[in-house]
Amino acid sequence: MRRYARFVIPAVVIIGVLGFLMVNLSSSLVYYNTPAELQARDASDASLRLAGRVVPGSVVENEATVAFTVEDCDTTVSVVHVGAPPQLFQDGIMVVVGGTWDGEEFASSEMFVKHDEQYRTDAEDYDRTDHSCTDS
Amino acid sequence: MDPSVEWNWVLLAYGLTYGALVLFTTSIAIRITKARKKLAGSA
Amino acid sequence: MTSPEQSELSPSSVWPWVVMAVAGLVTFVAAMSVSPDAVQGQLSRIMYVHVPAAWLAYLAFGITMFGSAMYLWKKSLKWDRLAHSSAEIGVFFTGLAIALGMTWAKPTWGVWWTWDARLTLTAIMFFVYLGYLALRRTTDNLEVRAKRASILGVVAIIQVPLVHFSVVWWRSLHQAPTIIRPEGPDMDTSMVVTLLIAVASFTVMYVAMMIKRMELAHLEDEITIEEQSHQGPAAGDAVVAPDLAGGV
Repeated sequence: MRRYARFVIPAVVIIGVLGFLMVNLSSSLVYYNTPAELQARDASDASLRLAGRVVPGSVVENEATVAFTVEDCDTTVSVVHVGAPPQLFQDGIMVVVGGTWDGEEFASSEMFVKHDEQYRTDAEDYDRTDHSCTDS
Repeated sequence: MDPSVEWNWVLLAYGLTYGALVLFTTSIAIRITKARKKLAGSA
Repeated sequence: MTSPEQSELSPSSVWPWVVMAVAGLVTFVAAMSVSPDAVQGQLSRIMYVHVPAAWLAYLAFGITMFGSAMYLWKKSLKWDRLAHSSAEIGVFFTGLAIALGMTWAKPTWGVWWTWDARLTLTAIMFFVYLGYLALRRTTDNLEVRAKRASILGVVAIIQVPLVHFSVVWWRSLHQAPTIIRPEGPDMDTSMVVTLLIAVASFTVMYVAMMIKRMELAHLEDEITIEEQSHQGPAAGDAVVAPDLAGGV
């Protein structure tokens, strides 16, 4: 009986955790939308994510919000984010924002900096141009 | 970000790494010692 | 069952511990000497432990698959001990890679955890290999245990490419590979060299850890064999075929 319990308890726990993770994975496969995909969508209250590069010079900081434009594959979307952006938020960096789309503007309530795969000791060496179109 | 804040995160990461490595390798060492004792006792 | 040779249980060697300490020190010195990334600043130093930890998780589970396949072929318990030892070390480094990833993600991404493909699949891999370790506790019969574990040890390897290429196949918050990619490394040479030193040191550390962990696995098998020989016949052994012929 003890041997039985020693196996069944971890098995139940592990299967439970795996099931939970699988459910989460299905929503992770489309982790974010591109600006072009978002433009093709109708306005809705459903929350979704958008990713793009912060267009240099577009950032306007207000008291409780920060407004900016993200770009990917020459398509842009205006974003208004409520709350403080992450520390690394800056011109030219990739961000993923979560919120709702009203057809014209993306209302963001969560923002992650999506650090890309470039590593440079000198800031001048960074490639900030929007050459990398996200696959679609 | 303030470099001193950045260093705090680096400190946390390296503390975590070496702390965990010491704990894990110590656990292997202790289990080896115990197993050797047990074998010596039963032989 | 053949009893392992006496020579293998000779006094415990000390040098693997020394190797581990030296490898850890080399990684630390290399990681602290290199220039930081221009965007991330000092935070980029976390890479030199996060990436080697993730690499060792892949390597360890690869060795687990190799040991498992060799056991199924040769039926020698030493291959099962290789698979088991590597799986335990792999679980350790998977957990470490996740913990380090979280301490890196919070200050850079702005969040400790998110359910993107890379993070979710890594968590699944961690729990499946914990399951491998739990499966080994289901029986005291060394051969049965080795067979059950070996089958899982071979099948579970599918997760390693799944985790690694998740950032290429699916959209994720985690960035794509920097070093191993068709266009070559997208990183300054000084950082690439430091990362390679860190990965090499961690690999040496893994080998030293494996030597000690396999010594432990060997001792544990010896204890099990010893205990089972003292217990006398197992309960099932008492059941013998009835002597229908009446005997002589």
